[in-house]
Amino acid sequence: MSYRVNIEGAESFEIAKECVKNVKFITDIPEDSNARTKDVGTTMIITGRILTAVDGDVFDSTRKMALWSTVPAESADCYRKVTVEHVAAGIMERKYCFPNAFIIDYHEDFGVGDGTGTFTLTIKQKKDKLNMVTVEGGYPAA
Amino acid sequence: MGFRMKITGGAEEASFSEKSITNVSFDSASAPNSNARATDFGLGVKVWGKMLYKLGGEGADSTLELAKWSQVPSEKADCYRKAEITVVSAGQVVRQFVLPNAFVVAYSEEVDDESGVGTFYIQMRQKKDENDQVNIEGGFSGQ
Repeated sequence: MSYRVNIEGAESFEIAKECVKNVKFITDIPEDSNARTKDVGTTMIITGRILTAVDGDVFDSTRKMALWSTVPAESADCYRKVTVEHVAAGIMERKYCFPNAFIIDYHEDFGVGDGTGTFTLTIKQKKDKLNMVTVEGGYPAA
Repeated sequence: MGFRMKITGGAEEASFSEKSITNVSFDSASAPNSNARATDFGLGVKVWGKMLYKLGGEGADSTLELAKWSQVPSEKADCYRKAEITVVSAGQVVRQFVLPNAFVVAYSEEVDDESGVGTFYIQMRQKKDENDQVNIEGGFSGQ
């Protein structure tokens, strides 16, 4: 079981499957709604490791997420296309796609007790573009 | 994995080595209920470490400079300082955060009669209108 996270924008990069540990997909619905709400949002929280490249491996792409988190709202580049694929035993179990994702929060944590850092990326799809979000799955992975 | 921190722009430079810093956390945060990318987002770094006193009183105690910085009133120019935090692992600089106009959001230090050394915690944030000056480097060799 592994996750592949692709981020496409002015600069496209992939977060290696060795890095991604956990993906949480949330549909935000107001809990006090009396009937089906119009106010639906969607959030994805991705956590993982910040690895140090050894033996001439390519450098870890997690830094590009940190740079994305500093892009101001005035720049078109603050919205990027995020695709998360979850493959298990040759089957594409889930494929989430947020074509207009923006960053809510980004954290990096480092400690002396563990050899790698961790990141937490919280993104949302631009709310007026909610109908562009796709959730697929259940077919053989290419 | 080791961490270094250097604070410049005050009366004295405060620098910390991998011997004293235990945890580093970088935060880029905006309002959680935002419908689209927020203009109002904050960039900051939190650092936890040990207060190591120099044996024989030699050299400067850098935590003292942090405690003084946290007390500088906002009228003074040196309440904003340049903070540079480096994460080094296996001969590589994994991250180098530079906040050129950092101010102190939280500072605490505590000592007890058991552990022998005290601990400090500092939270710094870049002046919000200067967010575009923050520099995040990494992925190059260095020790």
